[in-house]
Amino acid sequence: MPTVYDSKKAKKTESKFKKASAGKKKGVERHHLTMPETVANEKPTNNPFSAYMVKPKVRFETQEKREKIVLLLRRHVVTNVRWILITFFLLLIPTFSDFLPFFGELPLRYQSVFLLMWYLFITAYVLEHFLSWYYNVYIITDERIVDVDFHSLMYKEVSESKIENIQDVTFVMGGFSRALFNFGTVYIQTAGEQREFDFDDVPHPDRVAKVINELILEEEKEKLEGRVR
Amino acid sequence: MFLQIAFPISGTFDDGVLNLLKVLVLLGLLFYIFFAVLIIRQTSLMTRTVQGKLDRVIRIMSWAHFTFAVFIFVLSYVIL
Repeated sequence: MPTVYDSKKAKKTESKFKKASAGKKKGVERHHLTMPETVANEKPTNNPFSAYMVKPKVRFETQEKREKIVLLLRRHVVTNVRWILITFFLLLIPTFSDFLPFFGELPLRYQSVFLLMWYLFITAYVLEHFLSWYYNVYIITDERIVDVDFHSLMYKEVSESKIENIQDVTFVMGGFSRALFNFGTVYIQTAGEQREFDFDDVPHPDRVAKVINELILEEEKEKLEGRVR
Repeated sequence: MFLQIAFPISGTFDDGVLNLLKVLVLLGLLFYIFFAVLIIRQTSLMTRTVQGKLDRVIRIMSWAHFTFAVFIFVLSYVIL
């Protein structure tokens, strides 16, 4: 019996062929780096104020299209206590304005303006410190590490190094507050132009070091297996 | 009371001193408004560098701070 054309079978084989050749059509072998084991099973962090964000829904300026952020780190929240306490102290100062030698002698309208100016300065103080903490971040992606530093009002420094250039990872957790709140500094030695990256006062430095080491191993596996993105 | 003895004040300020004070306050606030504009630029630069959930809120805060500075400047010009 000659083979009779069956349209249903033809559709099935056609769809199978499409699935199989989807990646090959574009001429690039599709490969995604696996997430490090340490964070693979963790849920993405949703809290935007967190200092240790796993798989955050964040993008940075030089991020490539398929590059995934593994960790976004900031200085531990506890490092903000100092300026927060100073802010409370500054807010209380106007209540003692009667003790200032000349303030009480000024007309009421001048006193009001000075008070408003005082609160304006406090707002700027808080805003500057918050922005400095929030945007000075350390990013670990599946391809590189990035250190974003805003040193002053208009000075930005972004340093990055590929995972394959990392030679050594060390972390230090010294002192009472660091031991209590579990934060420390991770030192990363690289072979690139920027010799050392310091992730200062980040939470869970041991996990950060572990994640980086896992990424280094994954990169080495990639090289051995000949997988290239 | 010790401070009042150590730094005796003759009583109310005269008009000349108050006018000088007004000029200094307005000048100071003018520089501060320039600083507030710098904060807006800084915020814009920061939100472009790292884009997250709070970007809009932070931009609004920087503009609110600038508006507050301008408001105090206008208020000082009018009431002082």
